[in-house]
Amino acid sequence: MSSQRWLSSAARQCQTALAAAQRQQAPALSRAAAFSTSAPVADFRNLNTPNTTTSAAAAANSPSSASSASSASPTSPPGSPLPFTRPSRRVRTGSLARSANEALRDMLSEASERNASLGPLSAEERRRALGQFGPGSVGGGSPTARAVAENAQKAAASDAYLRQMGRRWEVGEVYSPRDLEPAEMQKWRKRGSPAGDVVDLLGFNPVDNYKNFALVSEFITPMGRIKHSSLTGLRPVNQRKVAKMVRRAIGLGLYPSVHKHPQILRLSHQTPAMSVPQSSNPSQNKL
Amino acid sequence: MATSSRTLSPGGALLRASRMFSLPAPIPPPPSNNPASPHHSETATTAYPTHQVITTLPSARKQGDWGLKRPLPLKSTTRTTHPLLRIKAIDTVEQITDFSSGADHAITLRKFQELGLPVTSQRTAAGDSAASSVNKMYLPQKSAFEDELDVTDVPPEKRTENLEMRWKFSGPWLAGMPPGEFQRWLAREVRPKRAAFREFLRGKIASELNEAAATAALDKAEPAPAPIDASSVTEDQVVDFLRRMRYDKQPIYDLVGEFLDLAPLKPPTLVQTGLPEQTPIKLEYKDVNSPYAEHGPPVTHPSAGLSYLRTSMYMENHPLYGPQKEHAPVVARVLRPRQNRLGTRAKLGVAGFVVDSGHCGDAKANQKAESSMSILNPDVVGGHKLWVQPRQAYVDSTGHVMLTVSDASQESVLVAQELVGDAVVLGTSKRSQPQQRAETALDLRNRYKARPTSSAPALSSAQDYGLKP
Repeated sequence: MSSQRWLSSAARQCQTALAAAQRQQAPALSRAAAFSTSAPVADFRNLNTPNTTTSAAAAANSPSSASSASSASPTSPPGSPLPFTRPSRRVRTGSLARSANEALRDMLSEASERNASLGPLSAEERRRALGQFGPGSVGGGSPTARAVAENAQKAAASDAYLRQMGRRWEVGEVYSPRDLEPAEMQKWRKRGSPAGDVVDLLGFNPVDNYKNFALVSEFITPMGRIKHSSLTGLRPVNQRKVAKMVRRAIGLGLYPSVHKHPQILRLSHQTPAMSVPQSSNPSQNKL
Repeated sequence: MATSSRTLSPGGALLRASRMFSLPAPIPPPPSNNPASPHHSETATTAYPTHQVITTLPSARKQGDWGLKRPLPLKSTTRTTHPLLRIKAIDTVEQITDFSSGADHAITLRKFQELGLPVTSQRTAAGDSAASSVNKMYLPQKSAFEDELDVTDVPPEKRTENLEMRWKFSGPWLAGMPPGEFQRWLAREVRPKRAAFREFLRGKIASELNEAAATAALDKAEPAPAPIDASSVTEDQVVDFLRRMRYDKQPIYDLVGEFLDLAPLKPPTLVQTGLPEQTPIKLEYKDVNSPYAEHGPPVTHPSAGLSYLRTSMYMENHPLYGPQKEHAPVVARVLRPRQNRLGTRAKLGVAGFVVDSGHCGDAKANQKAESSMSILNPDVVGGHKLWVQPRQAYVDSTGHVMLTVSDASQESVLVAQELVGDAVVLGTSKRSQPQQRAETALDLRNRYKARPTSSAPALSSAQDYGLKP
């Protein structure tokens, strides 16, 4: 951090010696330097555009640097990566998309704090500071920004691998080396028929439950067709009863014939915690 | 034993000693965790072994002689690391012996015994006393071999007396039955026993009447009248008794439970019943002290034969550093890192059992473990591993082994690492770098091989205390 401060103060000393002509061609330079195809930088660019006003506002709070802020903010390009930021802690642990954005937002807020205390750098200062890390690193930003990007990449790789591992390990299960092999893991990814007959297990009569939208929606496809017994895993007697339940619900006009019930669709788009219906009084829990 | 086999004919003795007769029938497989889930694998390792695992001597194995009806193919039975087989069928219509490797469960058992953990009985969080206390969760648990819990042979007349200790019941545990199965059980098992239950009630009524008559006679200082027989109880008396009992739930449940030999149930709390708190109906239940009332009786002996240790209350002694505060920690594999979005904790693999990471990685000093449990890094060869301290193990009602682990202390990890040559303490030399020569398959096998239980461990262990596993 001390070297960073030294850098910025040194750059400010040089500021007076710089010609106005140099200042004119600075935006083109730094815009070219800021161009990169890596996703975090692109995110950053999108985020930075509305936030230029906030950084200007933060700079305006400090009266000492108000004059330099007014001169620097129009010249600073919206896409230039800000150096001297820490990677957010959430990126290290959390999922990719949300926390990467949050990390970038954190970087922005830190940058605006720095602006408030020291004053913003001019475009030339920024270009010089970035030049300290070598020409190749300009697009990736500072090493900390690179660490953020690397962490995000790692999280993405982790997510991708975990998607390949279909098995949800239950506590108390036994595994042998064979269970960790890809051939065995593939079997857990495939969608087979359920192991047991749900109707037999729960002991209810499906035909009596034609008004139960949640139940009917479990036995139809997203396009409104009755699920095959290979998908439901029911024995023929129960499959016929379930099919009758669906036909009855649709025939009575209680249930749409081409998609799931709108209320079920609405609930399925909410978070799982919201979709669980809460029954206040069990005695009122009638069909 | 020897005398009885001597009296057998030579052919009979040969048959009795043969594998064909000594292999027990397979036990039913563990139930699926989620029968409605479409994701499952038929070939995955089961939660407990269902077949006997057999082995044979090296000289006999070379000839394919496993003591079965026909020699087994040499190609698949001689080139194995662990010559352990499970025989699915001695003979089939295709005239083959159906076998597969039994190394998975056999090695898992060996690895578990290396942990040196006693198997405890599953007890309620509140412990023995009715007053529930969170602190009691951390009390040492009772071994499954304590006299009061290890009840295996109960004479039929004492079945009701030993209700709080027994773990084996001929009837089901009703709280664990799905509704459909309960209805089927009522129709198939219970309804045909109606007449027998009336007879059972007659016996109860007769003993009740005899007791009442004896007490009345004692009060009047008269000799006790002759006891009446169950057959002399009339049908009207039975019906009256049933009417009286109908609204008294606990006594009728006791009678039914005794008749059907039902496993004990934990009475529901007021919250669980869903009744309003100011209910005029008083729920009166007997307090149940059975350790299996809450989660159901186990399908096996509470130890599952995994370990015969009674306690882990002994100290390991290091030849240089003296007695160790903790037992030797073990390396756990991160099977699945935690997922923050779903709020699931990391799943670890300890000695071949899937374990919840629990409070592992919580300690400030264990930041490395924390980071390895949060993300799957494909660059780590063989996957992330971390040192954990196994705390306790019990077998739950479905036969799954539940291990509890916690963070291993830094000192014990260092001592354990030094023992295998991965760390340097007090000037010991580190193991030769693996980069110097290419690692062979034998090296890998030796690295991950389970230690044979017969060889003496470097640290003193349970065996030194006479606690033979």
